[in-house]
Amino acid sequence: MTPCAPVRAAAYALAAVGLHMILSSAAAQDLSPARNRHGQPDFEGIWQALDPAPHFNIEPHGASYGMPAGLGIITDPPSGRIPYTPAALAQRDANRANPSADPFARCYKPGVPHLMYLPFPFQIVQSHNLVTINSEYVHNTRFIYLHRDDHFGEGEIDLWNGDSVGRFEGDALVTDVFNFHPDIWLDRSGNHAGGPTLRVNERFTLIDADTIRYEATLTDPEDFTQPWTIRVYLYRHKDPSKQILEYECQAYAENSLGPPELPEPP
Amino acid sequence: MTSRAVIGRVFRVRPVLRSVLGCVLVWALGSAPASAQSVFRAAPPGAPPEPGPIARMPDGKPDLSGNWSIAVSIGDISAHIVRVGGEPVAADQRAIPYTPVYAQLRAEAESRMYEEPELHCYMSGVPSHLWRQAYSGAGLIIQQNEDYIVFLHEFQGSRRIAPLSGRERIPDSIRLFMGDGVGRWEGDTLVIETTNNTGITWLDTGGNRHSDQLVVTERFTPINDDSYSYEATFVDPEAYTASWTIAAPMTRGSDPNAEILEFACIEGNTDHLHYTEEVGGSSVAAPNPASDTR
Repeated sequence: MTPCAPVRAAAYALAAVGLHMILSSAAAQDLSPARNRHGQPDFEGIWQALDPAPHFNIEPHGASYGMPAGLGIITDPPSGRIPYTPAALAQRDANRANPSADPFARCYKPGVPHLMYLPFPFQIVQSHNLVTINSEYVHNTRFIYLHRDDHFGEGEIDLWNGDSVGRFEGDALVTDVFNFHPDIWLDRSGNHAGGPTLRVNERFTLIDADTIRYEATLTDPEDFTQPWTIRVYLYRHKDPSKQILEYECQAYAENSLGPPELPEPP
Repeated sequence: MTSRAVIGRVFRVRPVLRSVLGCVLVWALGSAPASAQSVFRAAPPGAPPEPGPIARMPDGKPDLSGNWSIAVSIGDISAHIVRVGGEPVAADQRAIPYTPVYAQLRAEAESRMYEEPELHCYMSGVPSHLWRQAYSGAGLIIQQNEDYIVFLHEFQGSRRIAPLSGRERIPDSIRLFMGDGVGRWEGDTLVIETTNNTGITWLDTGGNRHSDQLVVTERFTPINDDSYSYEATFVDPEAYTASWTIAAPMTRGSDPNAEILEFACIEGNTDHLHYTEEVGGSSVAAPNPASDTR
């Protein structure tokens, strides 16, 4: 061991520490989203799930006519299957046998979390006390209120998209959604949730400037034997001309009602 | 919390029922005088608001974020006309300058009630969605950042998002219930010009109409932080012989946390089925997927 060795070792150590600090601060910068004028992590923009498969079936499924295959979006339980109670599983099978009962086929509000992985874009807008999620699908707007953390009482009201309250936890937006309508379908395959005992807890995390990791945990002892969690990724629309247009489903379904048939001039 | 409890008590009814009740109210009010509608908004201020400071964005532009009411009758928009063809009109001379065909269409409103767009759960259109009835705390909520402004209304879930610094118009072939609104600043006045409208929406529940050639130019001018003046000018060569302009006070709501509640209309709507043969409608031939309720 030369006399210089300890000095060299110390220099290497210092360099390593310095490098580590530089790298970790760079990493921290990468993961730390921009803040808006309210000091909130900035989720504004137009977003959309890239994969249409969960809209058709959130469980693992092979392709069929008109439906792309999908690996499923359920991360917990590890089986990737919804932990239904026997009665809720029977309801799912009944739903699947009766696709005309699908709220989506009737232009109804799709419910949360289904709204978040529809094949339609949505725009997130933030105020100091309110985050809105403005979906192109039948003017569905989610109001996530930041100024309260309570809900209506159980069974007092039923909302298709639920009553959403939220808060920022570090760089994440987390919500608590309650007061659901009983007849929500989670996909086009009859998977369902809803009713006064359902609670949905969401977490929006920017993993880079243009990608949100979206996670939602569904808890309902009436329908599920355990809480279960889905995860999808939401991608930012980068075309600067992109804007939310309209899909007014029931207007197109009615088909015959357009501009008025003009009367004869008097 | 307090407003929450109040909302909870008032609306411990299923949203579907609420929307039906709401539509019944629309019809009831459609023929009522404007003064009967004060239940939906704060009483009009006695004295004109005093000029004062306003909230501003980081770029210095006025910040309209918050909840508001604009004091326009949902039953008869013509009661608020201040100019026709750019010339001031007296209070007893207020009338929309219809072309003959659209005057006839307006006169036939009673027998054309089936065409009333909100009966079908369509969004209300520009600009009248701004002053539709509010069921819970907030009727109109505005969100704003430096790039765009968002108008959200509870009734029918009507919504529009307008850029604030111009944008290319969308193609003429695309028609939107809420039109294509593009904003700009003229000093402190926000100007939004809305094109690409449909000819389907009505201007009020009384049956005042427009064609799909309608262009609406709105002006939001601050007076103080709680008061703006609102103006909308209507140009539509197919429906009107001249431009016409309405004006109304715009007042900030007293509760900054007032909320909009979900408006379920399609989900169980059967109102349009009540306007069939007896009013010359054709709903039998126009099945709505929402009409066969489970």
